[in-house]
Amino acid sequence: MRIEFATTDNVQKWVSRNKIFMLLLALAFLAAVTSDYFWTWNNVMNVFRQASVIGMIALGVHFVVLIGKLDLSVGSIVVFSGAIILWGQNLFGFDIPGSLLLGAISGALLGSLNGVLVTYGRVPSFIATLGTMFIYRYFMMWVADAGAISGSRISHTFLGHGYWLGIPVVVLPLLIAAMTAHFLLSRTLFGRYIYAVGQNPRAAYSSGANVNRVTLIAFTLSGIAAGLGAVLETARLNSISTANSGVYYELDAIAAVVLGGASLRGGKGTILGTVSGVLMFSILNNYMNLQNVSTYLQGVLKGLLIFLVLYRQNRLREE
Amino acid sequence: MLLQMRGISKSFYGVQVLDGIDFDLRPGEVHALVGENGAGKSTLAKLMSGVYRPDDGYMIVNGKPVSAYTPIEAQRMGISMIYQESCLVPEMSVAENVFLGSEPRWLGLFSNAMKMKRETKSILRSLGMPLHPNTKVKNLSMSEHHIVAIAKALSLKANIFVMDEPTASLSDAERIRLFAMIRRFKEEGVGIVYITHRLNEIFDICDRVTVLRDGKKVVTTSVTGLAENQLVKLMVGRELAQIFPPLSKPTDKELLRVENLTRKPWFENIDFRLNEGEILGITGLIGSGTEGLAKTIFGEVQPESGKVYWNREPILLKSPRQAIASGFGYVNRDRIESGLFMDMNVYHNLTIASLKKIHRYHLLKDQPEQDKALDAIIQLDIKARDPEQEIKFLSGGNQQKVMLGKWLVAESDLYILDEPTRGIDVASKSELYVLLHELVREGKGMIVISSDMSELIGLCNRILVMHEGRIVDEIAHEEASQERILQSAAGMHR
Repeated sequence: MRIEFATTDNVQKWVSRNKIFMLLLALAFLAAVTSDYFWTWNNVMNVFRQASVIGMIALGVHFVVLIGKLDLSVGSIVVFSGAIILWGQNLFGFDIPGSLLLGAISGALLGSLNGVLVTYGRVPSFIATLGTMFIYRYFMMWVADAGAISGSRISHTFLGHGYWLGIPVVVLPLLIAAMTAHFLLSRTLFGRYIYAVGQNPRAAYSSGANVNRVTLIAFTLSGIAAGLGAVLETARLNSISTANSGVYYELDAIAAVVLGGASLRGGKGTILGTVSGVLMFSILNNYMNLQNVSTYLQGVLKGLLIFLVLYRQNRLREE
Repeated sequence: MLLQMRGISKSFYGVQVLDGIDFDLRPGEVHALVGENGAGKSTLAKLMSGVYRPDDGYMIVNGKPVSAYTPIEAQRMGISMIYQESCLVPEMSVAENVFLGSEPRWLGLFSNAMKMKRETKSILRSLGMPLHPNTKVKNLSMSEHHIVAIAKALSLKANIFVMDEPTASLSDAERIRLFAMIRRFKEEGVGIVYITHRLNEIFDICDRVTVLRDGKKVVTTSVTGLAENQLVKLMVGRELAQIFPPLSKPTDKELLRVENLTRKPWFENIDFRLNEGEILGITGLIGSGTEGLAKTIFGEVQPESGKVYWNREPILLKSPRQAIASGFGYVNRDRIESGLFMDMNVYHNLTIASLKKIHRYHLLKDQPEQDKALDAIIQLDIKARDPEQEIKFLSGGNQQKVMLGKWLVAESDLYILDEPTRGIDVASKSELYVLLHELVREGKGMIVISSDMSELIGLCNRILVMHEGRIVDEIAHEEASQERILQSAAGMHR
């Protein structure tokens, strides 16, 4: 009897800690009730597929937001890494594994450069990544003459369009990345230090955390996630436009992280929240498309959703 | 009456900081507000100036009853606060600072720079201070900062000044000038609330004194006829023998030795030694360098010169990480700002400094971590609903215990405790003292930095007194008295 009581208590606790996930379920339920097509296997998988690129990027940005910083350069990293991945295909014949490796390595390098600027250069992260946002993108535009780069390997697009046991392959990397990120944050030394640095950097320093190293790793992870996002993006489109790809991706990612309950002041936020945030935006877009709502109005509604949810959250926090 | 406060109460994070305070300010008087650290002086001052709102009670300001107001409303009602640290804008001129927030305007839009300069000049002249209104504040000395702050108060036609440690950063000559100014204000009927740690200033310039202790008012009395030791007794006010356990004798084995440690302008040529099983007290006024010394020993700050020996080996600590690895633990003076992780639960706060010992291949397992934390929770009798409760919901005393528990879990050998009992009640204090004694009996070393006289005298085997960055006196437990500590801290010893 007692144990049973304890379990319902735990369920309650879990629900109250993961309100945003409940909101996601509610939104999905609402969409399913009001649209016949929404709750079909194909469409649900479509929601996931549309969320895959931003989802991957948001998982990385999540780490940076947790330490109370911002990464505005991820959209440009998608362009930079995307171009490198496609060149790798065209010049050396790399397939999916090679692309993943190239994406991760180039992303890690660009991300760690952000990290070095923020830690050792002591540049505020907003400014540092604002700078690299321009540098990464315009460097590639200069190299590619602001044009698009196309891929030559059709097998690479299997990652973007193929199916495995009825599940779009593009969803799998997202799933693996989300589980890895959750594991890192909840089960490792690094994860604990991330939250410590985000909540109180001075206390973290005097408790023995290497604040610079934690910050550097967070930005590197953000870069890696953006590089992997570039792999998914190129797999879906088989091309990268240096001028038009990845525009606003950094803001979409930050919006999803914040919608997922993370605080921009750092130290608060779960992976489940961020994934929920990404899926909520994806569901909203998908549902609006099904209802033939103009794409432009969809953007407006996205903004309203952010206001609505964050207003509620802040009210709850004050109480 | 310029200002009357009745039944004022205020608490933070569950700690009662002020409890039913009554306070009066008459025209033309300087009313001193004294008490030990954590007695609630600064909180009371911030309530007067509208920075905080009282939880309970009301105030009558210049005949107008109010329960709460904002800093701007306080200014309009004639209350002006002159802080310990300057709150001027360094990049603005003297005149702009004086009129910041109340600029004279043309047509309600454009600020009237000529008028601002003219009036600033006349106010400064009335203060006997020929500062040019166009000088940027960043080029002024500390005492000139005060002058500008006072000019600002005068420009607002304030008749109630609240001064929080106004002389903390002034030289003797500057202090004399400030006192002359205060005397002139008294003649003009201005009332001044004067907060200070320096008791001799009270006898120099104040008419009445209100003593606060642990958030309660002890007494309000006239300064004339009051002796200094009476005042000290009122401030400390409790039987010391009851809350302190008997001292144990330290061993002869050296644990820590500091030689010629210098870090200007905080401290220079610091020498001392700490044996196993010893509690060493260090004290001094604000700005005497005690906090900087603690941070330097813990590796947060690098010394300019000098050596630290740990177990008779020279040791060079470049970061707290290395200090922790060597077995040092440091309880910070400010637990909210740089000690605790408010959104983390109790046991994560307890284990944060020991993760390097708990992890295996960088993985953390719940069980060993919780076991260690639970030991500390039981040993320290931390009152939390469960170990997973977030630390922000604990009372101040329990939060303080968690700060210490962090280093118990880390199995530290040296504890550097900076104001370990600030803001916690007498009962928790005495529990904490018992625990500290248990630790030193196990052969740990302890440095207690404190400005609480009774704590130093009751708890420590030896007391070092610092004045302006130097150790000026070393007092054995048997010879310790509040008078001697106060005199040495004020630089009057020998």
